[in-house]
Amino acid sequence: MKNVAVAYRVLAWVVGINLILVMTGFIGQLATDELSWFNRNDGLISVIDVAHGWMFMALVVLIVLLARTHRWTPWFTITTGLLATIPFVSFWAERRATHAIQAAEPSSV
Amino acid sequence: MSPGGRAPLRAWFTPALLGLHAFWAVALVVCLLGGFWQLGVYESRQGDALDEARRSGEAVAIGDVWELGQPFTTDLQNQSVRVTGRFADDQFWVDGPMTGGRAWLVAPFEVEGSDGALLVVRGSAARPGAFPTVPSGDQTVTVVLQPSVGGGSTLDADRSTTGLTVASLLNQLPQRLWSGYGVVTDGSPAPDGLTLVPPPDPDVSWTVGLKNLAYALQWWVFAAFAVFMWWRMTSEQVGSLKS
Repeated sequence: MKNVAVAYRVLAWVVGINLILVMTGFIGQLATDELSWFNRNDGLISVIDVAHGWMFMALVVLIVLLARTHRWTPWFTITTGLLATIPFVSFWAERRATHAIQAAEPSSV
Repeated sequence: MSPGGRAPLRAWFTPALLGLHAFWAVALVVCLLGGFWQLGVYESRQGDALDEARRSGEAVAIGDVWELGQPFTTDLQNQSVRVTGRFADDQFWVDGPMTGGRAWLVAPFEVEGSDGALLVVRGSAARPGAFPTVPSGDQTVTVVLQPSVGGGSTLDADRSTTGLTVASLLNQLPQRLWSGYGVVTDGSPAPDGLTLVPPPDPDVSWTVGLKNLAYALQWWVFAAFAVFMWWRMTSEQVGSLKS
């Protein structure tokens, strides 16, 4: 099960960074004029946006696997998933979940 | 499930479980609506692209985009152009797969300033018949350009063919021909008993707005996932309450 925890940590970071890119692209497109870099590269931003959706799904699956292994409460499971959707807060959610895993398994690093 | 058999129904409605039910019900509704919302965005983007393609049909002078002897490039398809010249009296009928069960009346239109004629579709009739007269004198008509199709026969004794194939018609018409044809939309009303042929809708790729279609699918996957998680969490809670 350590593998799942590691996969979760990696993916949580990738999704968190990707989420910041998504938000940057979204705000950039709204806040700048039509010929700006953001609006000229709409295709690139679309790819990032759609990738975020699928990666978040994978992340949710990992969260569910962890919740099952470590007997998380529904509240803890749901908040771990929801907090992962907020830019920057997602990193804190990952730390919180990782701490919970490590507290339950002192042997793991 | 717990070994003790089914949990009593009451176990599904404790205050803590009611909270879970409410959360997942809201999540399900939000995900379903999110999917429909994005599907709507996808459809409206498709519609916008179609409108845009139709608008790019603002007529330009034919000489600005094309000339006699030049091949028909894809960007000419659905282009609306103004043509000035005279109708020639060498009309014929097209009756085949491309005409959708009707017969098209086609006339060569001798384009002013060029040494050749553009085939133009003057209108359609239920079946081929007598040829109406062509307007005389200089005319300016607006046509939507279309590429020549393959496989049309040569003209038969009744001056009828199965498709608008410029290569098959070259030897049977006295004019040099432009390498595509035009569907009249303005400037030359359909002859009596005929109706103007509506130009085909421009193609809009299904990938326009693909991002939103992908979002719609993602929302629905999350909706299904919400149902699954609701079941998992509640049944686990009920099981743990029992034990």
